[in-house]
Amino acid sequence: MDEEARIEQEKRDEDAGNRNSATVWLNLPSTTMNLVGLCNTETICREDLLGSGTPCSSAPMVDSFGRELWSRACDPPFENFGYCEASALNNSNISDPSGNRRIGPASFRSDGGWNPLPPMLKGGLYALNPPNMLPGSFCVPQFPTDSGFIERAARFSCFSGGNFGSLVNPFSIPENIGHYPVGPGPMDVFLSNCVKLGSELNVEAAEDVEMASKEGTSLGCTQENSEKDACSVRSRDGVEQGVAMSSNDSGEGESSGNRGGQANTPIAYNVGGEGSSKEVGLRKRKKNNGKEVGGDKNKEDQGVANNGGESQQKVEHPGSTSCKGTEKSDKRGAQASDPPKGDYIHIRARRGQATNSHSLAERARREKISERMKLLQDLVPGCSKVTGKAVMLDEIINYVQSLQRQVEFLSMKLATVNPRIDSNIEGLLAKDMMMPRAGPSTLGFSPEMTAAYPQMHLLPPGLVPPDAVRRAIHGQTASSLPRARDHPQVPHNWEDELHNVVQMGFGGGDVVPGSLDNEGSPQTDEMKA
Amino acid sequence: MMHNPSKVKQKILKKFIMGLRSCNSSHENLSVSERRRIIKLSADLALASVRNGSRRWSRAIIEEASRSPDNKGLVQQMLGSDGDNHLPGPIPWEGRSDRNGAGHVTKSKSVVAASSKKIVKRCRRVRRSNGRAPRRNEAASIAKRLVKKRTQLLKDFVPGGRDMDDVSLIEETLDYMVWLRAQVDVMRALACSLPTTSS
Repeated sequence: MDEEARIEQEKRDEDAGNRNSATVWLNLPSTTMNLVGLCNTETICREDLLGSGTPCSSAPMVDSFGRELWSRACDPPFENFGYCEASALNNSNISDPSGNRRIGPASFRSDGGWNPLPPMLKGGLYALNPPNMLPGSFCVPQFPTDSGFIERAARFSCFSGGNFGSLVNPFSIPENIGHYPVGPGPMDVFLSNCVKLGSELNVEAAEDVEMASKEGTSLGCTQENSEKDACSVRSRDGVEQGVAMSSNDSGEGESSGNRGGQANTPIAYNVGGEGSSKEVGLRKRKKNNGKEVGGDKNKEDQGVANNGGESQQKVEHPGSTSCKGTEKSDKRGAQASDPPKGDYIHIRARRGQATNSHSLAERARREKISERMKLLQDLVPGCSKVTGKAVMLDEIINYVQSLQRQVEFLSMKLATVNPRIDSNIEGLLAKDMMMPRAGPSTLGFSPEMTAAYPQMHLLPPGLVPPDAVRRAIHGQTASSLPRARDHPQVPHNWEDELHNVVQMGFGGGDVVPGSLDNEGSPQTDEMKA
Repeated sequence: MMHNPSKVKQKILKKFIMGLRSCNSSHENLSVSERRRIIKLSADLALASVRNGSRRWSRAIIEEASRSPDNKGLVQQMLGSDGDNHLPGPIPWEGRSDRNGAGHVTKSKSVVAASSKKIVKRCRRVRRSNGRAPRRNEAASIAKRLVKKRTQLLKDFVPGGRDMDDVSLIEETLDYMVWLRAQVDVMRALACSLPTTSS
């Protein structure tokens, strides 16, 4: 499932970040997080939200608690959080219910185990699509400002990035931003902030939505605390994230930064995107979130929220944004000394890693590549469980190859038909309007590229489009597909897709006027299918 | 960017039909394979023109199409009105209109940087590996080789991907995949809506 994949990816990223040697995608640690562990992740998330210091230290209790929270995530999550808040007022670490890691800032950081959490939450949130996420009654818990929590919260909140489009309005609830990472409002705000940050940081081509979103992702990863910077090293192209950044952070700096950078496209990217884009948004959020929590308070939250609201409005405007390297600093939670808005990001060396400038740049480059590979992973159907660059590239190549082959096949088909399409554009376009089958499946892919996507047309994410595409591909080029392993699925899926296509074609056939004809043979009769 | 997939697809379809019309009128007695080539070309050009040359692969498609004289007419027809859109300012090599084979155009700054970086890396790597014992992470080097091989393959598939560094290659691939998918949908819709009798 996509959530699983995302979780694994997250976990892998985290682990990859922690490794000293060159990142080898093939050597990814097996994730202990799977969907079965959803409860655990939920629990962990809840624990995080609770400031990782809940009095309830018993795993089962936490599990059930988390589960309960999760089940009510869509509906009035605030009640849950209120409950969490009430029960968790201390910073005591609680034992990790999953048994893998301890919930706590330090342990969390070194662990990175919580990474999967946001994807899961994101997926869940997304699926639930809770438009009513932000009732005003949400009580903002006073979460401790530990980096781990902040990061988690940010990540979690970033998940709603996917829901951004549909949750535009509810997002501008300021008081929730700082403390309620789960709500769509803060998430959107953060997402927009992150996006802006990301786009600003993008030295190369900030116009690209994906670039911007990726930027945001890398930004979002950065943690307030040093250890967490490891994950944050997904920095932008050629930028280095300065340690100095940390000193700058503050809600204010963030706010100003956010205001400054009305990045728009990245949000669209995140909005449209499912899997990876959501993660991106989550990370971005996290960053902002961290900043929010670490720094101050409602005031800044309000400010940020307002900015977020504004940015949300402007999400649709694609545009290059100035690079804002200062955002990361906000994560520190320290007072904001408005950092100079440079064009570069300071990369913080991870623990135990070489601080050579070359290796830093190399690491940054690798992070970038891995980010993008993740995005690609969401695009290519059936690659949610693929790990490793080589395998992923293989899949991508296969997919591109199959698409190109389809184009050739279709052009051959059109060549044989060779209609005189003299005056049928309107008819064909009308038929095109009736492309409901292809639309959703394409939508599943295009959202990543959507610069301004006010609404979420995405279908139940990830699942339908890839299947449809796979079906389509198989249907068209079944004989030439190199993916033998997919063939078992082909028979029953292919017929469905073919059926759909045929239906569509026939539906359009009526619209096309009878003037269409092949050379020398009017086909009006046969057109009326 | 695909603001609205169906709108985008309609645009592609429009352009595609425009191209088909023009080539239909001008090439009446072509063989099937020739027709196929032209159809594919106009489909690609339609895709690239809708993409408006803001991506390297779209520019590469247009470049490559304009290279051969046969296609020039079609290219101009399809892109005539917005031909200027495909030569954005920031791309230095666009204006030079180099046609030195195989899609290679005068390298842009980033391309030069990328290749020089690669050369430097290669030298460094060679020097380093000379004195090295078999590294313990041999798997890593194998993986790297695989990745390199596949990156090369991918570069061949993505139009205009030859001179790009890894990072931008992946971005281009991302973009290209999405739009290619749209192209496939458009063509399939067209093919399905038309009578399927062969000429």
